[in-house]
Amino acid sequence: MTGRATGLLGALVTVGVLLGAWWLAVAAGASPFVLPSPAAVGEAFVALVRDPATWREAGVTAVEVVGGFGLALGAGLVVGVALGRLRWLERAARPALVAFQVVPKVALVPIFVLWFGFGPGSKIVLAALLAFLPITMNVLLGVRSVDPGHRDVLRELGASRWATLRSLDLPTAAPAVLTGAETAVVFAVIGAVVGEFLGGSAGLGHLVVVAMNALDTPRMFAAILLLTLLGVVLHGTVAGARRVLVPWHTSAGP
Amino acid sequence: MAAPARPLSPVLRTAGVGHDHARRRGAATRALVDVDLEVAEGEFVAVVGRSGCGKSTLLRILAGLVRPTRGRIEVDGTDPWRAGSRDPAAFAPVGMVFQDPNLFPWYSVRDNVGLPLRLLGVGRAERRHRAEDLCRGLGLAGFETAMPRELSGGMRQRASIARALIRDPAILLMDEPFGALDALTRDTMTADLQDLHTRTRSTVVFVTHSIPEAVFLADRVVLLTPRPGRVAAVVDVSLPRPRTDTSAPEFQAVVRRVRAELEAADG
Ligand SMILES: Nc1ncnc2c1ncn2[C@@H]1O[C@H](COP(=O)(O)OP(=O)(O)OP(=O)(O)O)[C@@H](O)[C@H]1O
Ligand SMILES: [Mg+2]
Repeated sequence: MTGRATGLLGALVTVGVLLGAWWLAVAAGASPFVLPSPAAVGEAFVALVRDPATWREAGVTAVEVVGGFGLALGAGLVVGVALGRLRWLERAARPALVAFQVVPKVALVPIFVLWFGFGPGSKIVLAALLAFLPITMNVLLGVRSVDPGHRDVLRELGASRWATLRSLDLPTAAPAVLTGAETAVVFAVIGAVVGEFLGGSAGLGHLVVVAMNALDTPRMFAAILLLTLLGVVLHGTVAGARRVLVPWHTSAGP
Repeated sequence: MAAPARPLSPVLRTAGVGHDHARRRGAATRALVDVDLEVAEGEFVAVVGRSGCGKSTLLRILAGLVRPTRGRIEVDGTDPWRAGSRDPAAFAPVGMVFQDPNLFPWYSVRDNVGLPLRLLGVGRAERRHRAEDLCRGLGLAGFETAMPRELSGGMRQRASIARALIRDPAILLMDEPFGALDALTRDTMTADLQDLHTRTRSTVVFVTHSIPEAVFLADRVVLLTPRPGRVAAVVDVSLPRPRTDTSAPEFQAVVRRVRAELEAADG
């Protein structure tokens, strides 16, 4: 059996076991308000997917996630390269980075709503904020991990700064950057959804809140499932980029 | 035709060059002391000495990768550090084969070999054409589009030699270029290098641990003392070229002399 087929089978078994446990819990008498049956959630999911309004909400969330992630990627690349190349700047910026790391960014949502309104703006900012650090830290790490022997080769050949960046720094940093991006895209989903929970009138996160207020637990579960699928698709896209962008790296698989 | 006039100044010169490697902790490592060396245009100089005596350091100084902590160097009669920083133009005629192949894992063999040409602005088609030619000449036929991790150690080393040769450097620095090769390939490559040198009249400084190899290739063999490296002796090799017979008594006599000098240098 090929590795891919084994992997697929394993995934199916895992899903089967989880569904079985879920079904058993329901059969054992869990209240449908607390834990609806898989069938009820499935029904709600189908209804949700059939409703065009759902896709509008999903579109809103997707735009927030992708927008926030894009901002974080751009900023993270610039800041990460700068901090990686300029040691004094990194030393100067370190306290700020630590503060940035420990501040509970979700607590900033009210401020963002105040500044950027109830629309997608405040969610994009929160998503970007959550995604920024994993990207920056990985870019910094990537830029630092340049092999001195490789640097010697280009120095000996008299390569310009630009040529060195293109032929050495970027390819060296790429695998780490992609690792950061994989984490970051998941964080961006969290940022967007939390933003929608706390101060929004649109998006899948808002859909979850509406279902909760209506005590429609199956619909709530179905909306969460949809959110998970969105996360899976985005994460899969970034992971797929690895195979295209750094096929030479061992992390890209065979 | 008359023999070309000998250049007034050698193409490579070190004057009182010494180097201390700074270390993260503890005293600096004294790698080289008082090295005075002159390499004439078209000359082939081999450098031998114990492991850790500073051979690589010396080549890195000649390639401008390390600024010597004492003394000065000249390339083509000018001090490439005169402005206080490395003058890339002064080092332009210098090509280097590193002790480690240092291939870029994200480029194919062909693109690694063609990299120096890309930096010079040569177009893709010509780059590939010349890189493939060179790869074939170095026994890498069929591996032009392979990635470095798919090569054996010796193949990587040959690819790195191709990368140094592709821009036909007037001055070629080679740091144990044949270290990872099997005996037969090594013999072929040594003979090929002699041919190349005879053909192009390039200047070569060649580090090796093999005394016969040094004697086979070089016009002069420079012997360094164990660390810190000083020039212990310089042995002229006046055997006629092309040299082919390493078992000839004249050849063996020079090998014995170099070995004796090296043992004396070890003290
Ligand atoms: N970057 C460095 N930092 C600190 N010390 C160094 C550095 N490079 C070399 N050295 C030290 O300088 C000395 C000479 O090193 P070098 O690499 O020049 O030796 P070598 O003659 O080329 O040895 P080998 O034959 O094993 O390659 C060694 O003692 C080594 O520890
Ligand atoms: Mg060495």
